[in-house]
Amino acid sequence: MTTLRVRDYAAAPGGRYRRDGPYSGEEFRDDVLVPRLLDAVGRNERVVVELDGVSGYGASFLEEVFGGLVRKGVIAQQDIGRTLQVLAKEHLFKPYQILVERYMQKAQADLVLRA
Amino acid sequence: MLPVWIVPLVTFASAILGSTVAFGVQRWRYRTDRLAAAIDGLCVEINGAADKATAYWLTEGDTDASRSGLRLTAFELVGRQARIQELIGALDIQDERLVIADLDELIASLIDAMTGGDFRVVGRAHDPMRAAEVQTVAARLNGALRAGLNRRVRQWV
Repeated sequence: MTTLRVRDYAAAPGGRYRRDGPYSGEEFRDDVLVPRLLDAVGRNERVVVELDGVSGYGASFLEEVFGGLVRKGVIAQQDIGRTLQVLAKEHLFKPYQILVERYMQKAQADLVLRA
Repeated sequence: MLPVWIVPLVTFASAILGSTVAFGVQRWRYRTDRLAAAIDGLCVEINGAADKATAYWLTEGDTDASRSGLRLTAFELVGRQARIQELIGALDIQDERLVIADLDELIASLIDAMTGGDFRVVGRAHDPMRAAEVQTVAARLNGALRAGLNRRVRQWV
């Protein structure tokens, strides 16, 4: 199991896209999360992403990271639940965990509709 | 003929009973008033954040002037989200028996409406749908908090 703490890469998460400034969701997804996930899939491991400890999220950051992960099809949809776990230990970050689940479900539903 | 000591005993017992009931009522009243004040403050904070978010989403982001203002507002909105969550955390500590139905879900919906979509996207178009959604979710959160307060007030302990 690999634990990935968002705060280690983006203490103050930014916007959605790289062009919107530093610490964007796109940057975190493509430069940090995807390589870790692909590595974990290869080793049949699980990546746990901890949301706690940052100075606050814009929901667009989370949508781009986790919804975008599903949309981009980096790993097979059926592998996402087995490979990726998103956690919020502090109560303050629980709503963000709920949002991540919603975004991933919505992105999956959109993919199914498009197919 | 009643014994002579019965009158002061009954008087004393009545005083004890009366003061105990008064203490209980005052304690309930104090808890209720403090909780109502805390929820009032939280609703003011939620409504202020919703109004700021509405202004943010109704502003076009394609001019330099609006961009600098939007950048500032974006930071304020993220801060206000955190403030609302911290206040809810404090409410939880203030009264552990207060139950707000679907609170985490509603907070998540508010956060999504405030800072989801094209939040912080440079040059984004204005988004009246999201502006309206923020107000709707804030109203639902206000209602849930008031309903929780009303349920709690009906409990004596």
